[in-house]
Amino acid sequence: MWKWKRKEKQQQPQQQEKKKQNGTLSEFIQAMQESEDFVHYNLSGSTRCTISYLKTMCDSQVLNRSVLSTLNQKSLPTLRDMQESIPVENVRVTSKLDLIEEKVMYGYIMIQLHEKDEEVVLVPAISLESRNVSIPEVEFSVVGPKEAFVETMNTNINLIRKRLPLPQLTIKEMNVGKVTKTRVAVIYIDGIVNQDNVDTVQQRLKGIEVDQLTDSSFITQIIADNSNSPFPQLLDTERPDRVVSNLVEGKVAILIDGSPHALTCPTTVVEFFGASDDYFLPWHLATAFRLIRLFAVIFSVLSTPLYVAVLTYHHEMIPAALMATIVSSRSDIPFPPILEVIVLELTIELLREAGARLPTKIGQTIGIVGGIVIGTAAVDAGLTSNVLLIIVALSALASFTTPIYQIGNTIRLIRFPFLIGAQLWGLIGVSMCMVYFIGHLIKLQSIGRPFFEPLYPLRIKDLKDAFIRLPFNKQTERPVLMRTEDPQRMNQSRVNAKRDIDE
Amino acid sequence: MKIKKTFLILLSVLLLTGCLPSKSVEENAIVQIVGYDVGEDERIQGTVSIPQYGKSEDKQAASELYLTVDADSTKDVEVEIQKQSSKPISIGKLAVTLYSKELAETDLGDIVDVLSRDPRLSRNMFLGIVEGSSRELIESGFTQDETTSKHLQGLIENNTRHNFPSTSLHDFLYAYYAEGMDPFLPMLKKRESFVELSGVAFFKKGMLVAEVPDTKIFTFKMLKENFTRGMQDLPFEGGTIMMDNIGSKVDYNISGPMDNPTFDIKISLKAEVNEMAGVDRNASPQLAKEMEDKFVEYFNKETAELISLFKEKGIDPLGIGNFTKTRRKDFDLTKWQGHYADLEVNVIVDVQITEYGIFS
Repeated sequence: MWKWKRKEKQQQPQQQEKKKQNGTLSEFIQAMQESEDFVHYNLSGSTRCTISYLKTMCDSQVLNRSVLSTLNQKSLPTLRDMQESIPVENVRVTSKLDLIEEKVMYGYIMIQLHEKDEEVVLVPAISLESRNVSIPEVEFSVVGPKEAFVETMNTNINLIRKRLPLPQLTIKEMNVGKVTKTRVAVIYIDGIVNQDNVDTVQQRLKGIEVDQLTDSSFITQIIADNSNSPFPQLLDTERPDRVVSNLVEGKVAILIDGSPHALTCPTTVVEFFGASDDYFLPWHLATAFRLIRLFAVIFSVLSTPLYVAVLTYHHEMIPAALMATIVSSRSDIPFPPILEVIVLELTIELLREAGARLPTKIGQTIGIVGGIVIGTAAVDAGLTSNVLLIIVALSALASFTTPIYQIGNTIRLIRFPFLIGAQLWGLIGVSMCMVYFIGHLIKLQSIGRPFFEPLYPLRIKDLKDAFIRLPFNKQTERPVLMRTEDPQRMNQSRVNAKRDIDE
Repeated sequence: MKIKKTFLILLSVLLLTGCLPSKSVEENAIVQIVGYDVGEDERIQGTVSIPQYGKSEDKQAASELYLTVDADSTKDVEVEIQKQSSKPISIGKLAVTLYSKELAETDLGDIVDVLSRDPRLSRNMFLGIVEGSSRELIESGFTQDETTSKHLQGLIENNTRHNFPSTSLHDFLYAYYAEGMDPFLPMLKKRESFVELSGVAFFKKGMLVAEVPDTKIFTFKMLKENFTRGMQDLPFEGGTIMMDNIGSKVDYNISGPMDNPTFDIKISLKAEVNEMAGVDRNASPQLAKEMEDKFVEYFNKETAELISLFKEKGIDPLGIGNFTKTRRKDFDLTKWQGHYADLEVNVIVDVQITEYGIFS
């Protein structure tokens, strides 16, 4: 029965050996020639040499204008001569096989004098196909900068660096992913960041054992302190301005090539409810909007469970004025409240899923069809009550108010355990779920720093930018959470100094 | 192992919850008003009204279902009613409980005790005494668009904002169990086509012993608590003046030794006169002064009457004994009750008429 398993075990070491045997350059070329887009030929002009490159990865302009024209114009007998005369930056001569392999795969042009030579010239001619920097779509803001990250890491780093022209802005790169070898960059400001945070991040990134890494969310899940938690423990954002302000606060950012999102850590749960808009508005308005958002989240999670609990167990809690409305709208419904709620919640989830998968234009139609037609039809058919339809629609709307998409997903799903609790034990069940989740949040960590931070452990100083946002002149210190090396943002006395006209 | 344990706990939780019966609101008969009368053979007659909510279109419940049963106790009433109802009875929304005067004169103690022990019931519930039969009052259906319970609830609540002192199950129970304090309840009376709040019923423990008509309610409230609304009329020089209270404060004070104490009740009342019917004089500070004197005289007489009634019946709805207990460490309830009839209670009323209108 277990024969196949034993066989597998035996095969594995053999495969690895095979890979190692791929030891010489000619063998590498041979392997590459299996692919149609690998070009390998002898040049017989003024310079005699062999050129190999991947035509799908190479910029043909560099190849034609700089490399081929130079090689054809004069006779270049050695590799050093080529290195000097090819007018492309960072041309190098090397015989290290793994370097050659890596570079060629990225689109470098490889030039050998003779086909059997081990030493080659590598000319960078990478053609980067990438999207233009566009408007942020997930974290849109009406005011403020409207640049969003794209899939190319170099562009993304450029977007950060141009906002932070500091020599201390440090970027450490590594490759993650056994097969994909994705570039991952750890970015921080030296002198502000706590080195412990950087070390933790780098250690965890190096420890990643995975074959493919196609998006930043892989990293979020893999290096999270608790991978089984529904809460994202790294904040992902597509706004360079948000990353920059996080870096200045002393956080560490992670960029992944091929992903239009940056990750910042350590983060706290309240940070997920703060939008970058909050900093572009006067502080009292920003505070009010933040509180509204927080209320929306609580409403979104608790409204339908409360409906179930009150209608099933606690009839006393229905206000006398609402009694007639609720009872008469419920009187036609054949289901108990819990089924009614689950049916409607699932309908909304279906609509959302369908809307997200379909192209934008069809998605809108689906939204309208689903929202209006199914909604009114369900009420007319006596499957759900009017009151519940309003509550469910409002809670769905409220769950969209979170500025970070990832936490929105969490909120979407977290209400189902609450619903089950409400059906099983009424309000006691709801509070038990609440206790469970709050207990979980208290235990949760982000890169070793408490995730539920300004609340537990209670740090009054960090509350200045949590539920309320105080004006900038009150925020003279960096958050305690990061334990930064330089906790002072700016000089307090100079901030508060009055600059009268007399001076 | 840990997973196994959690799984077991979850499973048992899921299975055990099946034991708890749960019914959605619309599947319950929501009782909002209960009335108790004296039934046959020393039994209690209980009447409940269950609002019948219509289907989705008409929101307000126009119709009510009245059920009347004879039972041995108040809990038995619930059991008996259950026999007549197609839906389980839910008494969590009970807002008004009525007792007939006849029943209250025997003893309400046991019945109220049941109310105080049921955690489902709201302490903000109103209790009321009905002159006549509470069944008739419940079944008469006064308004087209309201249930009886809502109507009576509104009636009592509205009156406590004006002339009637605040009342609820909580207030009743506090006075019932407190030392040196006796409860009181509103009296309701059914007229031809409406119901009115006709007076206050005073209790000695659970027994109704005295009542005063609605004309004296203002004076009683003035003695009992601070309040800012309410009206009182007074005959004046052949006509009637109407006083609108804008702030009345009452202050209790006890002095003298415990075996012969003096109790002072100081009332300062600010009011405006907003109607003079049949008084042929111009408004002037002089007239206001005269009115003030007249009101003081009136209130002195009224309060003295009330207090002598309390002394005569041996009841203490003002909570004078309770107040003394909080001020004197050598308070002794039996001694106090012995002295109570001879207690010297001075009421000092100060009326200030601040406004009598502007003439043009």
